[in-house]
Amino acid sequence: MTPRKTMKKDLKTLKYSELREQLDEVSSWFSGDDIDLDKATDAYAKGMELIAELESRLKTAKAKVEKTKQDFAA
Amino acid sequence: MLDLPITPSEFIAILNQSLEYAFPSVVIEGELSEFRVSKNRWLYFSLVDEEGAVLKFFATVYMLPGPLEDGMKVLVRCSPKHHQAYGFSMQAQSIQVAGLGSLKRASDLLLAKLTEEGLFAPERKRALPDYPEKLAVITSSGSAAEADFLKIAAARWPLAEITLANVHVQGELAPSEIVKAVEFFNNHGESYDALVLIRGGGSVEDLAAFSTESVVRAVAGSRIPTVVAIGHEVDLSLAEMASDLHASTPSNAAELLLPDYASEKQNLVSAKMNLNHLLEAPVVNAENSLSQAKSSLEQDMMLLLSDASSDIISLKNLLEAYNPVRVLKNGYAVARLATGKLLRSKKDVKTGDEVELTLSDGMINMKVT
Repeated sequence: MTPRKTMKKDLKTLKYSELREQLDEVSSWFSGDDIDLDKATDAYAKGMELIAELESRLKTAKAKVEKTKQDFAA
Repeated sequence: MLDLPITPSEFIAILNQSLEYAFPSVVIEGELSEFRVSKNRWLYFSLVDEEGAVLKFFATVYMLPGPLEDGMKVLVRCSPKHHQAYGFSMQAQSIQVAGLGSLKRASDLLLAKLTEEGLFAPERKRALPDYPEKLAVITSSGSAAEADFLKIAAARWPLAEITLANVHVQGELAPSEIVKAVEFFNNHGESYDALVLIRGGGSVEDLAAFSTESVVRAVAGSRIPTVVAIGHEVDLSLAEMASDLHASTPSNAAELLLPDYASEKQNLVSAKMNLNHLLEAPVVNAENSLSQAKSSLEQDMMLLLSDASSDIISLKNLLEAYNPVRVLKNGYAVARLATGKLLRSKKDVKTGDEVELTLSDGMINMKVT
């Protein structure tokens, strides 16, 4: 089974952890048995897209802190 | 001065009004005595002091900080009231255990009770997410604990969005505020990856809120995975024991919970190199497979041609063996009548017939005599 397919635009909607999970899936897939060249090049391209998106997220990350509107201290 | 006679009920009503005005809320510290629970709902107890003075109290089980027993020192916020049927008593508003020995005893009793319920069982612990993005943090606003956690969190994992809830982290109000904040985040529409409850170190009394039954149950019951860090060097608080992950300090909580930004960047570089390496194997395999197929095809073709060639040589030899010219060369001749009929027996001719003999190098006409 090849790694699950995700459209390029969909990558933007996924959480960092979900992208990371898909990248791990791609890497694990390569250690499987049913590897042919076509599938391998697809998986490779997918992996590279995931890495590019993950790197972009890290690059643009900015800590965001907010206080709850409801203050619990009396 | 009241000169007009009034009924006992009227007097009690006036007395209660006066008491409420004089003592709307008073905190009394004393040693628990005659503590009992009625119908799993009502609490009756007395507080005594070294002078031997005794005050009777009335409360509900919802005010309990945990299991209590006679001899414990407690602080009770209360107001005095005279009941028509039961007489004078103090109506409790909140109960806190006080004093090192009593706090330790209360914590031990609660530990035993909740252990039996399985609240601290290792199998209840959930894994925290590897890459949390939404954190709910409950602490005292402006505290060193908050500053330490935020500083480490921003440095380690700036992808995390942190929502802070301000609560008292010690004193009488702390347990109920912490419980409300835990419930708020759990019932909030947003899905948080982790709920963090932190405060800095302090005395056993300062940290008592984190070993009260309501806080421990709130932490254990949270649907959001929990991290609790109370900075101290002595025994763990019960809230830490009930959490999915406990850390030694607020900074340590951020370190344990959040991945390291720099390491993750390096991980992605390694993943890229690894992916390139991983693709090499299928390409080499495909090339080897292609090369093998080519050799095999060439071998098959050679074999086919060789077989065909052998067949032709055999056929040629066979044909050669049957070549009549070769037989004629050995001295044999083919005899025919003038009509062309092949002679196979002397009976086929009679005297005077003309016979044609074919030899290897020509023909001779003869007459039978």
